[in-house]
Amino acid sequence: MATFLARRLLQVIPVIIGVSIAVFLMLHLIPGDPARLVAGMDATAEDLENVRRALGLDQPLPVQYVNFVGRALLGDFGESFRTGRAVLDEIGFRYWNTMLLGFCAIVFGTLLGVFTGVVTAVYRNSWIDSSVLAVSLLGISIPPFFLGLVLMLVFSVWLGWLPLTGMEGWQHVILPAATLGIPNAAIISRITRSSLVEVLSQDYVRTARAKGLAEIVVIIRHAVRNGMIPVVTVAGLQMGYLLGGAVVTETVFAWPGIGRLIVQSIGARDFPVVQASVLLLALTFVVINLLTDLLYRLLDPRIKLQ
Amino acid sequence: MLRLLTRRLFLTAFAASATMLAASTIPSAAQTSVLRYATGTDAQTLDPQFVTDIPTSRVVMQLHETLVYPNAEGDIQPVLAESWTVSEDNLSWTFKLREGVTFHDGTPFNADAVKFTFDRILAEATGSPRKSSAAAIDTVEVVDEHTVTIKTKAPFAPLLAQLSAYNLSIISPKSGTAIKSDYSKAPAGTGPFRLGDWTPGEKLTVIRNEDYWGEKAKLDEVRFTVVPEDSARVLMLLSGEVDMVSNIPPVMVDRLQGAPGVQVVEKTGVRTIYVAFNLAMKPFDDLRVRQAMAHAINTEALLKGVMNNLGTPGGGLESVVIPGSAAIDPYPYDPERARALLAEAGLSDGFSVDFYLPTGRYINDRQLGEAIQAQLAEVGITANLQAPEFGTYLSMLEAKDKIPMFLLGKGSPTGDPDFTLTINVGSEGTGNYGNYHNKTIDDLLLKQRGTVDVEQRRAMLREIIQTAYDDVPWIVLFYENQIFGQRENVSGVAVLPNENLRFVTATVN
Repeated sequence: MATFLARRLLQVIPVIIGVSIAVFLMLHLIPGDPARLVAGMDATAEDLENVRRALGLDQPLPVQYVNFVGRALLGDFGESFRTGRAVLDEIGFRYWNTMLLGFCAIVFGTLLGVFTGVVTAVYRNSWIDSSVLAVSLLGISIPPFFLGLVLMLVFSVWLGWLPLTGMEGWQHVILPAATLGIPNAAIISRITRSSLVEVLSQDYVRTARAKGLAEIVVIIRHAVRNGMIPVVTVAGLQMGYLLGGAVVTETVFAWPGIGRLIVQSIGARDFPVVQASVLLLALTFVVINLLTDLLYRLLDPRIKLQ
Repeated sequence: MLRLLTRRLFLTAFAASATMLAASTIPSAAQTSVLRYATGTDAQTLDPQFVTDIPTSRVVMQLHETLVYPNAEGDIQPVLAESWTVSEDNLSWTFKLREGVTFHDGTPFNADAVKFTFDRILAEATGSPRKSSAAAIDTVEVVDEHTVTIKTKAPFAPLLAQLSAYNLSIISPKSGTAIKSDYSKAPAGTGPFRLGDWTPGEKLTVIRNEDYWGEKAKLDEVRFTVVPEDSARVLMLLSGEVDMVSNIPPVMVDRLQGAPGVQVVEKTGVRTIYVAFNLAMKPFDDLRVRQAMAHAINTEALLKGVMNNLGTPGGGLESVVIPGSAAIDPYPYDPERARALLAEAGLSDGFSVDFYLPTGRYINDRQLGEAIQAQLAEVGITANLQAPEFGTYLSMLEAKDKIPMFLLGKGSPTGDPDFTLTINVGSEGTGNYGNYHNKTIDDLLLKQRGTVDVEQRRAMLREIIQTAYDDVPWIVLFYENQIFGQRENVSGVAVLPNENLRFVTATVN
């Protein structure tokens, strides 16, 4: 276990180096002059020169990369081109906001998905099964921004139960988390169902039933636990997709998260912010993958960690 | 049972209405009047010398003031300067400053502060992206506590307009030693509001400046929130979660006008939306082709069909609300004439061209492009729409040899044509993406700058605009209107032609 963890943590280093080079090169290869975007449309040639000098963009590319890596190793990711604030100040709280939103969405999506999955597996081929299937198809197909606006219209404007945008209290997280979580729930529901249908036909389930255990005990203790392994894989993978959805959801709900920040920063060619954000997210994915692997082991001790 | 239920219901309802009554009456005694304003993009900085966009300037100009500022008609008025005189040689401008004004950090406003401010933006070390807004200033001399003389390198007639630019807001020397993000933590101008608190990317509040020299603000507070999604802002306005929102898409205007409790405020702005050509690329090197394009594009139909009439028609490069602009009619829509001109240029079969445009930067930009595409097809011109992301688009424009035809907008940070005409149609201008060179315009640009007589100078500016109109490097589509939505209980918010907002006279009932 300890060697496994150590080895996995060591693997992070080449990943981070690779990501840093890739991001740096990509940002400098895409057309678009950061100085022009900082200075605005009404800037003169002299203004552009000043900005370029102030941002260090007049330096050759390798020098810029070495500067970036050197400072990054010391924990200094520089200042945002746009705002002049330290990059870590700029992304820190937004990162946690996104993680909070993602966590709520995953919890919401997994609970709803596993619950409906179990119900449809148990009552497979009934009307319950087919109506949940219909709803989950809808859940997967609706674009998140539309789903978000519909939820806003119903729960905020018509019913007045929940606030529309921002993040001031716990109520603010409900609608964006639901927007992000619903497509997730739909996928997890389908995976749970098919996995459970298979498990329910296994010998050990038949044995459990034969022992005279109550059906609910059979399903929860024996079937669901074993049927969860593919669900954990998918839920772990979904964290990645979640970030794609988070960009849209954060925009619709004015949620100050890192997804929206990255999109804005790419648009503004705010290199320091994009570089640091992408590195942080790469690190997050590595950690989530690690946690997913550990969770397998928890669910089925026979799985070997290597 | 039924009786019990009704009684309980009655009690509940009573309790609820009592709470509501209490809620609506009791706090009103100590109620603070707050105007909640939702905007699409966040302020980038609170340091005026680093502002490069309108949403940021709208926040910064609540906190700061310039020496002079245009009124609703666009005419320059005294603000921190009470009066001024120009020397015989037109090189020295002496300003008498307002007395008894203090900065938000408690220090007095005086001639030293003016000198400090202009020296700061001009200093290389400051690194301002808008150093050019002070480029005309040679030296600033403190005459006495409340008198300051600004010397220019050459006679510079647009100086007053230039001094009204948001980048030249006067800042406190004490607080202004910090720059950009450090200054933004504790900005100190002389404006009617001071900074409350700011969570970048989320919300910002400004609170009434009790020591303001002029008529104090009626509101206790203005709360800016950032809501990027247009529809979400409209929903917030409808639900009463905010009192005012900016940038309403034209398609939603009808719906808002019919909704109870809200109203739409619109005002002609300084932003010109135009289609331009690269004169170094075929076939736009031929004047007849450009004229044909001008007759083939039906700007009236664009305004009506795409913009829901939320724009102001005109053919001159500068918006009609800018003093010194020229009232020119757009080229008349005449597809017959367009075809004839094309035939004269040897293009009777029409031609095919890549037409570049931004998406989501100006109101309905994409839809405008599609409508223009359809109009051009009528005269045999195939326009292939290309919509790269804005950063890419700008760098392609700057290459000056990649884009033959494009849609763009231009603002006016100073409210004077000098600055923007120099950038956009002057031969050396950074915004002259279409290789448009005209000696008459270059000469007139120089000459008007040295002409202090207002009428004489305006005649020259009009001549520049007319010359550009005749050469058709651009086809002006319209001047973009500023569209705001506000709750009916809001009044007194002034929407200025230069896209700024004044909350000082605003009230919320």
